Amino acid sequence: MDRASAMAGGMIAASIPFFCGIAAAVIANLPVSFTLGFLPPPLLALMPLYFWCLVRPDLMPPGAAFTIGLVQDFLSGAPIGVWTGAFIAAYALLDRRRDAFAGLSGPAAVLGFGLAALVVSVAAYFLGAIYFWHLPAAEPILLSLVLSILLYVPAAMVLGAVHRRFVGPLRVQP
Amino acid sequence: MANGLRRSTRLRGNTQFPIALFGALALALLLLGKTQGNMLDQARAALIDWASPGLAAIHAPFEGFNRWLANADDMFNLYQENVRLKEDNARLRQWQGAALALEARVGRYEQLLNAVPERKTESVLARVIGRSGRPFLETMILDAGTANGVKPGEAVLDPRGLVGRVYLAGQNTSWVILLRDVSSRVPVVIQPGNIPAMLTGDNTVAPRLEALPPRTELKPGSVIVTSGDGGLLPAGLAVGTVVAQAGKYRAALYAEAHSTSEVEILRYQRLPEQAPPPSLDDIPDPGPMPAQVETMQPPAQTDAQPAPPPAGQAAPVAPAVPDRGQAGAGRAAG
Repeated sequence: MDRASAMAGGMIAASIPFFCGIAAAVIANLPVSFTLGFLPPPLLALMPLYFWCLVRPDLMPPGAAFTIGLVQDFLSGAPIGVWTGAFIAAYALLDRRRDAFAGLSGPAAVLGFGLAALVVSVAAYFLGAIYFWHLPAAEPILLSLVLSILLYVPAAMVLGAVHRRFVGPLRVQP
Repeated sequence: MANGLRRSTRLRGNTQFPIALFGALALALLLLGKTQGNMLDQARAALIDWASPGLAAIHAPFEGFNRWLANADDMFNLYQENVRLKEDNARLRQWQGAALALEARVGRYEQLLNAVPERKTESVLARVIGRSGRPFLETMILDAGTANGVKPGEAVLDPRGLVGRVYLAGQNTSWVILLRDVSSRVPVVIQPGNIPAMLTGDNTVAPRLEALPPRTELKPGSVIVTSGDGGLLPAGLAVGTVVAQAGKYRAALYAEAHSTSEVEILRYQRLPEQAPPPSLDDIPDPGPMPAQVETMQPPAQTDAQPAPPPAGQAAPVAPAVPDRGQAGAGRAAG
């Protein structure tokens, strides 16, 4: 019984990064705005993806990034595939340079997130341009990028607390 | 940390193929959305329908805060605003008199010409239960859907002017694509001069005026109204005024999509042209005898005069412009 409950607890803990990504996508895309709609929502869904892609990549596989991107597409009203493709592009970058990104700390860690967010924004912009067959205005995506970078610091503190409290560090399997 | 790095190095080799696979899948979804967008849109509409009670509850406190924020600036300009409104009111009273005289004159002309009456446009009043400005979608969500007779493509207006068009209609909710959205295209005319143009959103506050006739120079402040071309929107809906920015013309919109809380959805649909009723003259002539062919003359061009109405019965007359006052009377609350 104890073993079964421990397994269930482990599974729940393992699913927290994924569900944090989904929850962030839902929160970011609630159709309410504090800024009268003048500022686009930040890329909240990218934050858990970036965070756990570095600290627990086993809990944030490419399929999770794909699903979070799909939820972001679905709720944001963007053409399906734009944010999905953009998140996968950022995931590919993080996967290739994981050691470099994971070694960053302090302001450099924020810049690391900024680079990932820039990749997402550029990829989304060009995928959107391909879909609409003309270049959309860059201002909203740039504003969203800046907001995301600014909000990453408090978000990383929250994610770090969730990680320490519920998920835990990566352990080598025997 | 070292353990994590060792594991992550091991993982990297295993993720190359899934990343490529999911990347390809994302591109396939993009293409599928381009070709089969309706299916995905219906799923979105169903989701918002399901979530609409929650959205309305969440939106209420935000609405109050946004309204306060929008009006915070006005609190410091109450006196000037009051003076300006009084001046506007006096000027509008003069315009009202002129408009009523013109309306009566147009009515008389239409009666004389036996003009085809313009259809009255019904409308549905709806509350805004959500709005957002996102990089690829400038939208608001309304609490009226197909159950209230709302259909995609219908015009959405606030008390000042055109806000946008219904883009997606669920059963109890509908999504409005705002005029400033990147995929919004609305045919308009600029007055005076009746200059046609295409109002094209680009996710900025002021949409662009495109497809103007060559070498057209517009006067800032000229009025922009819908042209009705294509039959999707009624003609003459107020849109905004012309502004010049960096050598290009844009529209300063009348509607305040970011702060309006109730909108009107016009249930406009242009009727297909009806064939005239058959008459005995439609029966084909078997053709003249060969001897008569040379003597045939083309039919004389006659000015068709409308038959006068029977005594004591007036010809049907209706205002040429959709009667918003009467339309409002037939509103169904959303």
